[in-house]
Amino acid sequence: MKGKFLEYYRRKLASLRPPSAMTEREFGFLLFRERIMVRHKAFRDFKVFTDSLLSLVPSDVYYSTAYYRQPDLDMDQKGWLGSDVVFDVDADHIDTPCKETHDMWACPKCKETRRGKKPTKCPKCGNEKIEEKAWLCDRCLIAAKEEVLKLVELLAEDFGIRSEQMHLFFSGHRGYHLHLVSDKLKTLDDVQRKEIVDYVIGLGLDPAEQGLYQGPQDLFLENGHSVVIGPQLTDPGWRGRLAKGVYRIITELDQKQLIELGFRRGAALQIINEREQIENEWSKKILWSSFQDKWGITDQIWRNVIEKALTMMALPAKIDTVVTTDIHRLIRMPETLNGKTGLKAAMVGLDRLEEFDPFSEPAVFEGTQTIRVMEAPQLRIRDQTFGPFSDEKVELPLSAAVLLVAKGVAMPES
Amino acid sequence: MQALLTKLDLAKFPFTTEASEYIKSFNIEPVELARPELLPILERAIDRIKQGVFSGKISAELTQEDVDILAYPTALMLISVIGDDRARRRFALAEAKRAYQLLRDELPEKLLQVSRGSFGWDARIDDRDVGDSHFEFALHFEDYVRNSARIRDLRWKLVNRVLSEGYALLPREDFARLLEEEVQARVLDRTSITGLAVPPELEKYVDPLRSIIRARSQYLAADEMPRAVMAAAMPPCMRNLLSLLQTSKHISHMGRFAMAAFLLNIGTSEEELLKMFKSFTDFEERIARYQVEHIAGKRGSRRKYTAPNCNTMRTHGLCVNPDELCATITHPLTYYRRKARTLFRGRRQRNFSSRRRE
Repeated sequence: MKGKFLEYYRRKLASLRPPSAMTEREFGFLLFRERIMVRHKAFRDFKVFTDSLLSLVPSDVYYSTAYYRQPDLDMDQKGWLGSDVVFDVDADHIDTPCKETHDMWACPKCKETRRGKKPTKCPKCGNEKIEEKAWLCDRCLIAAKEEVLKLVELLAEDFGIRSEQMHLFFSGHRGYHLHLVSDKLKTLDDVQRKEIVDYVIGLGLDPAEQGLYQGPQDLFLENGHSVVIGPQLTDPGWRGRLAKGVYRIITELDQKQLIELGFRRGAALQIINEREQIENEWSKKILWSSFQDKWGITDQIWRNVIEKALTMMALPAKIDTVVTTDIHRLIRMPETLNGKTGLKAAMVGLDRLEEFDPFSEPAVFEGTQTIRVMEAPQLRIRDQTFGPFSDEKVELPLSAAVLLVAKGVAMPES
Repeated sequence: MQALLTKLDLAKFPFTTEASEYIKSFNIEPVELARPELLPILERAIDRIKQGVFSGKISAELTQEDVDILAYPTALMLISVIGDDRARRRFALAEAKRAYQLLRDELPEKLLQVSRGSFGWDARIDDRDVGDSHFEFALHFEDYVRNSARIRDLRWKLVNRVLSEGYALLPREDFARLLEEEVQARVLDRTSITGLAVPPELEKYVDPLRSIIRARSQYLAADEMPRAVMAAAMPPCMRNLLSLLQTSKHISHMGRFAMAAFLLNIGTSEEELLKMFKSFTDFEERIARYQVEHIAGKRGSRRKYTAPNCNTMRTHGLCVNPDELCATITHPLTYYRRKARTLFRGRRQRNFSSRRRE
């Protein structure tokens, strides 16, 4: 592995770019054999950095999202100057149905490796320390990509972040890192950053503050029903987003999903039958009062509908919020290799995110390699799929072989 | 849209950049304040501090403009030299509240001038209706969170604001409330220099003030942390984490950090903590020891970590089954201290009554 990484870095050294304000950042190298992190490194210029890279050949390269006066000193003496705002959108934090079929576990003691959910102890040797091996698959990464698209749109519309301020990278494993480059945001502290995170995941949102509430008690419609006041699709920020969420619930969900939200069978069916008409009316103006009236929306349904609208429109609450709020964090350096997969943490232009394929460009190794695979689900490299494998010897494209070895499910055959 | 501040405005808002320029033009040295013709300034400053520290409110009433303006920096100087942190904070809050009271009645143009000119806000007058809400101001979200993050009410969370292309839309009242935060921060900042001495000429005026402030501080002795760990006083979030730990369930990284920091904060020893952490399936003594020592402040940054507050616990999904006491606090440690105090009191009383029976 180390040899392959070295070969790659030698070949591609010219394409590596230093991060902005490189001299103010701390670097960290995770070493292959020792599995320890060499931290608190600082580099005067990029040449010194690449020399270290070639002599240490780490499995993973990190740099601080923070800028320091003296990045090589101890934590409390570095002199924090600011930090990029970074979002980590990872398939680990999204519930995809395929995880059950491709995630694996391994017993470090007897080397037993199996597919599925991690047991509490190894059925073979009884060892209780089991390693989880999350797999990376197309569907999981597509789910992550959809969340990234949502995030980018939200940051642009609500936060006014321009696309040139957003730098997106594939993590080389199961997700994406979005770095915001802005002098204004640089000096926000952890509490203030958390406000941004909470906005993005919709945490603590009060519908009444976003313009959705029951009208005053003494105000009634002609038919004696109470008045509901609500936001419209074109409203800015969470108001419009909340309106869109409810709009999508009414125009997109199937009968079963509507019933799950508490709608009566008849109401759910009626919504589906009248969809065209509702779409027509609602795209002009959402009539909240008649919405409540017509489908008998109780307080409980309201709560469910709002909750659902939030889940549809916000980022999953399980995204790694710590990455964004931690102002001293080390993050994978773009364009370097991920030691867990051998894939490159490739930069993804926002304009080509839709067509970006994490199993093409980041698969950087050329040639083939014969390996012995113990147990592995199917994987794809560029246009070819391989596996699933179970205790077999195979010759694979080098990128696929490196990935399986890095994942710890295969051994190179000499 | 530039609104110039009049001298009256400077008396109302002596914390502004314009006011400090004006103050500089007098070129008064602290020693000179004892001069009979300047004594009213010193007296007004002392009065300002007394009001702020003892009643928590500084009157928005104005006396003589120049005296009011000059009394402000004088009061800052005095509260700095007195050096009582509790009084200093209370004074800063009172100054800020006074500013808020005056600001919310001003015209939008004037608020805008104060916000931009003195605090560098990226703000504008927006006058926009969204639904049935009317907003007069647009403030860049970065300036918004810098000031709102300290306000506890949920209404102030960014997620409960209307955000449009980088700007939070705000009614005048809220805009003024955020300026209050700036004023408070500024007063704290300007009074943070320690080790200053009062010129001997002023000592006879400052000394009585210092004595009453000291007396107040001693009276308000700090909440003390109970010496022994009291399991019964744990907040629900920590009880939950502990029960997960005891049943060897998985706990997230943040969960482990929160629990470790909390337990260390309330006086659990590192060894005890390590023993507890051994039940994790992925426990590795070397790494766990490193992490525990790190949190305890012996390694890495050597900063002793404080357990996360309730807000952070909520963000990370660690706040579970909050009870009545939870509604009154914003930090698990405060919960623990309060609960410990009531439990301790109860225990003392019980002891007393049992002794009587003997």
